[in-house]
Parts: sequence; structure tokens; C-alpha cells
Amino acid sequence: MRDKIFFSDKFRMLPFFLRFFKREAVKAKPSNVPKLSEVMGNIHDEFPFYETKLSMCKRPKKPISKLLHYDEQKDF
Amino acid sequence: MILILKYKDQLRVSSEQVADWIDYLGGEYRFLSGNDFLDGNMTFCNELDGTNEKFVITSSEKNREEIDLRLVNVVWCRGFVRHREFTKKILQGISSTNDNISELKLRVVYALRKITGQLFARLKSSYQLPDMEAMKVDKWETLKLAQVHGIQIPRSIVTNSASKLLTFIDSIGCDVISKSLYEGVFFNDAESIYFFKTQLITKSVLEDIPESFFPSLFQEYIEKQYELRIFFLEGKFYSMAIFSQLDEQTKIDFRNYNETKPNRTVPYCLPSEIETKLGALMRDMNLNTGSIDMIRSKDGGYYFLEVNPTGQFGMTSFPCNYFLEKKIAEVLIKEDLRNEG
Repeated sequence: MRDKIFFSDKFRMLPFFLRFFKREAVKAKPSNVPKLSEVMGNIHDEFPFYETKLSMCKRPKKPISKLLHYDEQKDF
Repeated sequence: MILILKYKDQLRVSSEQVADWIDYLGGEYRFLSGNDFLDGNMTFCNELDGTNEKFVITSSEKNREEIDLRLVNVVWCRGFVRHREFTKKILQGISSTNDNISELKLRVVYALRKITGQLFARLKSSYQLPDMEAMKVDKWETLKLAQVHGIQIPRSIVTNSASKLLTFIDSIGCDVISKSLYEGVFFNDAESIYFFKTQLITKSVLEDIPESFFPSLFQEYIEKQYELRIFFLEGKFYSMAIFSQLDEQTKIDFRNYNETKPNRTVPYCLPSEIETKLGALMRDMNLNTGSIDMIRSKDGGYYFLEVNPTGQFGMTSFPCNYFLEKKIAEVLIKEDLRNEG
């Protein structure tokens, strides 16, 4: 069955391109650090920059759009 | 002084790198984000005293130092306020009808536009990259203008009728894609993010579609050899080919990134005839910079898709070794010195 989105019943009244979406699970890991970790990183944080056989250069995986607790920083 | 307008917490490493180059090359710059007015981190005061307009903004940076707008010779605009992020805070926890909430959001956004309009008007005499008026690019109008300049575009239609769309598909003899007439969008909730990318529409897709729908943009689907991302800066073109066609995941839209095996990207030399036409198009749009998307079709044609005046350039700069960050910094410094004298 096709995924649903909150406006699936209203497709007829919405721009056509909104019918076709790709759903991705939010990549946020739980943490016991209040407030800081509840803030989700920007969705662009984990987009790759480029990678070829000869070189590898990615956008930083560290979600710099939020503050990280010391323990979290160790992961990056 | 160079004023860099940007979104708060903007994840655009490229902007920071340009600032580094400005520093290195001896220029002077300040960052300014619209959110700072709204979060109360910055004072905004515009006063009409009967004779003059007195406009003072006080930055949250550098110990709440005042930014003297009269000293701004150059403005580099990478963004200013994300309406969505800002209104989210306002609407959080509010309980009312959907109608009331959406009206409140709309009114806040309108008010915000008036406020930023006052600031932008004040900066009107500065050199702007890109020009803030020209930034309001309309996809359809741009396509029309590209046609005028003899640049190939995918045959396009905006319609609300399935039968008109079917007739269009028959007349062009190939499938179409659906695109947003405005910018791309995403939605997210606690578990998921929903992305909307360019979508291939075949006749079979239309079988399940009612005759009437929201007026939408459809374009001829061009079988491509590769995509082109072209960064334009003050008359010069820096082009990159993206071999997205070889991957099922990215062939319709390279933004469906394949993280395991990313598309190959290489520097590209545009034919001078195409550069001349694109240059004339950018001049007509009063754009001194922008990221242009094109397709090289299987039959060798160059198809113009769209231009984004504040598009990303890091994705072109790094793989192609163009050092665009340095080139932008040089343009900004040159204009700053020219306007100072």
C-alpha cells in the first residue's frame, strides 16, 4: 500500500507534485540529555558532499545546526 | 563594509568559507540574520522624525555593536528569515481552529515581509549579490524569457485538466514530469520527513487522477546524457556535469541522492553559444549571480530548466576545484573598495 501523508485526502485541491513524496525516517538518536538532544538536526546535515574512488569528502555528519553535549560530540 | 545576510543557524558551510576568504584577503564583513530581530537578540529601530528616516540596528554579535547601514557598500544575500522556522515558535502550543492558526501565520509572514522590506530598501544603493529585487525569480517567467533568448526549454504546460494534460502528452510524444511552480518543500513530524522531488508522470499514472485538479506545472521529460549545474558570477560561468542518468535512483532528479554510490561530477566547458545566450538571459533578469540547472539531452541539445539566484555553489566548487568561495570574496571586496572611493 502506498504511504499516506497528512493531506492525502486533499490531493485534488493541492498542486500536483505534492502527490508524489518520499518518506524517510528521522535520523535522531535518543539521549538522556534534556533539551539539547531533543532538538533535531537540520535534515541537510547528513547529505553527502561527494565521494569518488580517489577522494572522499562529505558534509560534516556532526549536526552543527544544534548544540551537542560533550558525550554526543565524541561520536563525530 | 560587506554585509552578509543569512539565515540563522544556516548550514551553509560555503558562506562561512567565503567569510574566511574575505578575512584572509583583508576585507571587512558583518553577518546579519533576520531571526535576530525576531528573537530579540537585535534591536530594530526605524524612525521618521518629520524630515528624515533614522534607521538603527544593533547586532547581537560583537557586544551589541550598532551596524551603521550607511557604511554598507556591499550586500551578499544568502537568505534572511525562514518564515517556517520563525512562525513555528509562535504557533507552538496555540489552540484554536485551523483557520485561525493559518490566518495568524499568514499575517505574521506579511508583517515580516514589510519589516525586511524596510531594511532592504535602506540597502538599495549598495552593490548587491544578487540584486534583492531580481531575486524574486518566477520559474514560468524565466522559462518564457529563456525562449525569447533562443535557449531550448522542455515543452511545458500549466493546467488543471487531466484531458488537457493527456492531449499535451500525445502532442509531445513522451512522458512528462511534475514540478513545483514555486520552490521545493518538505514536511516532517516526529518519525518521518517527507520529500517532494521531480516526478515522472506517465499516461498510466493519469488513469487514477480525476479530470480536475489544482493548476500545476508539467514539463516534457527529457532523456538526458547528464545534468549540468552552472554557477554564474559576474559574467563568468563555472559549470559541472552530473552523471545522474546512469543511476535509476537519480535519473529523474539527482537530488534523490545515492549515498552509497554518488553520481560522478566533473568540471564542464559550456559551448560559447550557450554561454552567450545564458549571459543575455541573466542580464535581462538583472541577475549578477545564480545557479543554473540545465540538461544535456541524448540528442545533444542543451535544455534550460531553472535558475536559483541564491543556489548552492559548494557542490560545484569543491568537486571541480573552482574555488568559488575565493572568487565570490574577491568580487565582494572589489565592489566594497569601489563603492568606498
